[in-house]
Amino acid sequence: MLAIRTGRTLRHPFTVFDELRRELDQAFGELDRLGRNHGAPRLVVKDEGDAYQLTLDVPGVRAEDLDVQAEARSVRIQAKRAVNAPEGAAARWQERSAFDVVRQVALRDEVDAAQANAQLEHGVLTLRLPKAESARPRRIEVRAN
Amino acid sequence: MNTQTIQSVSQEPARRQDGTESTETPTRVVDFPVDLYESEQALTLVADLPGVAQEQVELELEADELRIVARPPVERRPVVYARRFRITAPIDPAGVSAALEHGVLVVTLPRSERHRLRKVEVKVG
Repeated sequence: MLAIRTGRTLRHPFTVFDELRRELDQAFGELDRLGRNHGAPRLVVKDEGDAYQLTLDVPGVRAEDLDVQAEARSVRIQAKRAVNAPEGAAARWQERSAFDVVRQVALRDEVDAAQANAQLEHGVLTLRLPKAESARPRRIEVRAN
Repeated sequence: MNTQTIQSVSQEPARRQDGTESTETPTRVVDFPVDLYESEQALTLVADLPGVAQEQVELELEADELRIVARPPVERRPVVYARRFRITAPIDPAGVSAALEHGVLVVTLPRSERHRLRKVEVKVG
């Protein structure tokens, strides 16, 4: 038995409009946007003097999809996520992509990996790596003779 | 209904982490990646909005335009996320819902009852 859909054809129930998108549409001549990806997660490293703070945008990633390993002079972060259509739905426009990425960062100063702290909140991983005592900036007094 | 346009979004004062207004305005308005899905019952929009809490997201539906504006705390991220969409299928505005989890916003727009797609079986007789 054949199921036939009534109603309007399922074409482009959304149109997306903003200036940048329109320019890109004209450049690429596409009306359907399936499989166009945004880049993989961007890692930001900040040296705060007594610690490093790393942030990685990982929307849609749960704690169990993350693996963080810290050593004295490097840190390795693995993150993955899937992108799935809701139940019974078909994709009409896709900019988000699934990913399974590794970010490895070499650190200039030694850190105390045992004191490392990682938090996942609102789809952002924040990693704080306190520097080893010997690596912390130290004020040196200048004595005048 | 609020008819603020996306261009004026960046002039509004940004919020700090503790909810107070900041005298700085965010440096820029940026868009964010979205996926659009459709089923017989509803249209679904899924957006990546990392670093944004529920109370920092504004959704506005006016006629056939859906606007999404998200303002993360300015000291964390000096941006405003803003994007608008035209919805060309008839939907039921009262049934629109949204959920934010792990920095991903899912907006569900049910098709209006009258326009729901229904399977029609063809009997061979």
